[in-house]
Amino acid sequence: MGIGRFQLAPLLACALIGTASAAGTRGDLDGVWLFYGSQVPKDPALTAAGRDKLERYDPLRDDGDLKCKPVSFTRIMHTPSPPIEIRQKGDRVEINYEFMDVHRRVPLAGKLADVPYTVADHPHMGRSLGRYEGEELVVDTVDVEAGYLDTLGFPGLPQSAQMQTEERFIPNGDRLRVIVTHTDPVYYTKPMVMTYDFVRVDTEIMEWGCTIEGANYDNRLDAAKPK
Amino acid sequence: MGGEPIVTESGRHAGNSILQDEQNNALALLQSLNDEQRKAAILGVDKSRDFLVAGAGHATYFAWIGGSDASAVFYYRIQSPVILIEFDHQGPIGMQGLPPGVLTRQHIHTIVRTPNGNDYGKDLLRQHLERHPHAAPSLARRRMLEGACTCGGAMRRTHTLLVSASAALLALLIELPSAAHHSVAINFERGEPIEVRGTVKEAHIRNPHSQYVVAVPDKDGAVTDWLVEWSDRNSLIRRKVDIDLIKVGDTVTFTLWPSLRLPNVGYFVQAVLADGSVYRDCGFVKYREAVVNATQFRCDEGSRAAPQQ
Repeated sequence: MGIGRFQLAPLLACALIGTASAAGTRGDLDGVWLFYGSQVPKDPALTAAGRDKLERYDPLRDDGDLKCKPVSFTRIMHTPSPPIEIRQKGDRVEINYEFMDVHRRVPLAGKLADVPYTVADHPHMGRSLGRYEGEELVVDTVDVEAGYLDTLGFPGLPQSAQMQTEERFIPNGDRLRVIVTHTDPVYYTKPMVMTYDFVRVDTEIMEWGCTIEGANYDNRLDAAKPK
Repeated sequence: MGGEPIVTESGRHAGNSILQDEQNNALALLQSLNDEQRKAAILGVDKSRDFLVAGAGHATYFAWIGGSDASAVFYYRIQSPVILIEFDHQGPIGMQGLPPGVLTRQHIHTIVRTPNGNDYGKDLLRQHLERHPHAAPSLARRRMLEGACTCGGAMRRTHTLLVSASAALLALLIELPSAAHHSVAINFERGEPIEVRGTVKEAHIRNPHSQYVVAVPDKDGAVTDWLVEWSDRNSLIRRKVDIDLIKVGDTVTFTLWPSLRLPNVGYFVQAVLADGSVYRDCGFVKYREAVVNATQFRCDEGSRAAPQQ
């Protein structure tokens, strides 16, 4: 018995869906993850402008924590205690960072330059677009605000508005590795690669509830005179 | 007991190391064996994963897994009906620059058990302290005790063997400011803690930083406010610290890492309450280790005031 024209269409659609699903097999990323280790470059390969900006870094002035401002995803991931939560939805991935109550939305389709800011209430963190490569989730981010990238592993590492970032989320059972590559021609002579390792934990994200008063020590640091 | 890193490479305690005798003497013992003895002792040369079984046998054995050259990573066990000693090079959990999962001499775990008596499950020191509370120690003694952090009963007795422990062990057992979440912490001097005693004026357990404001009188009676910074509220809760234990009006002696930049500011190391009991956060490193190893996290000093030694 032959396959009629109207019978072929749904079969073809099913075949296409099956192909797309196989190409985009989602890894086991869902859950809450606790940071337990990192590898950061010993030499961030700063340009002259990068070295100058690093030298001018003053944590009492430039540290975003003192203003309840999450400066970058690298910064958040490098924060040891508060976990992160990943939820894979149909058309997006939701990444919730306990630190500073950052709720990130990463669409899986569209143009990177046009997608909404990845954190609605923190537009300085730029725009992100995700895709799957096998079981790995790859997230590209652009349009970040110039400032400081990371204030913990390398206090005062700068970032320019031209910085492009790729985050590669690689699941491995109850372990998760995130390889971050920052490419910033203004401040770095070569791409800077950082690796963060997480372990799955049986907990829930808690509210952070940062307040300016708490963040800046009720203005006591402003009043204190440096030694 | 154990530690990472094993050798302190920088800072005022550069050159300090722990567990080197236990490592090197065992290696020398193995290297002294003849071929027949080696054949019996070496269970395998593939030391690509962690061991430690904490079992007990019926005779005295010496067993080895791993390489035998001067830089090898290995596991060994000395086992008899009355004692079990295990030593294991394991993968790094915190040091930057070391590949995760690759065993290193910078991360060592050991177990010593005496199953016929005085095993760590009895926790004789805790029993002793419960019957005979000690007076508050001197600062020097307290600093020494920090090297022997009493985080969990099982660890207590073995840690007292390491009162001369390096900053490496201190880093493992107490939350260092570098493990705190914000960059102001880079401004604290982690080498030599100081002690301030005063009355708590404000207590703020919150995110991203917890703080106490303490009125500290000097010998002439003049009072200066000190700002004591601590970990974020969420982390303290996860680590089972009783965040309400220190209250406004309490007289407390704080041990602090002083700020490098600002006067009268320090990072919380521990507090001695008015009754002489000790209060501390056993820290993210210990919490993380429990999570990674899927073991129960305990921090008695955070959940209640522990007797002062």
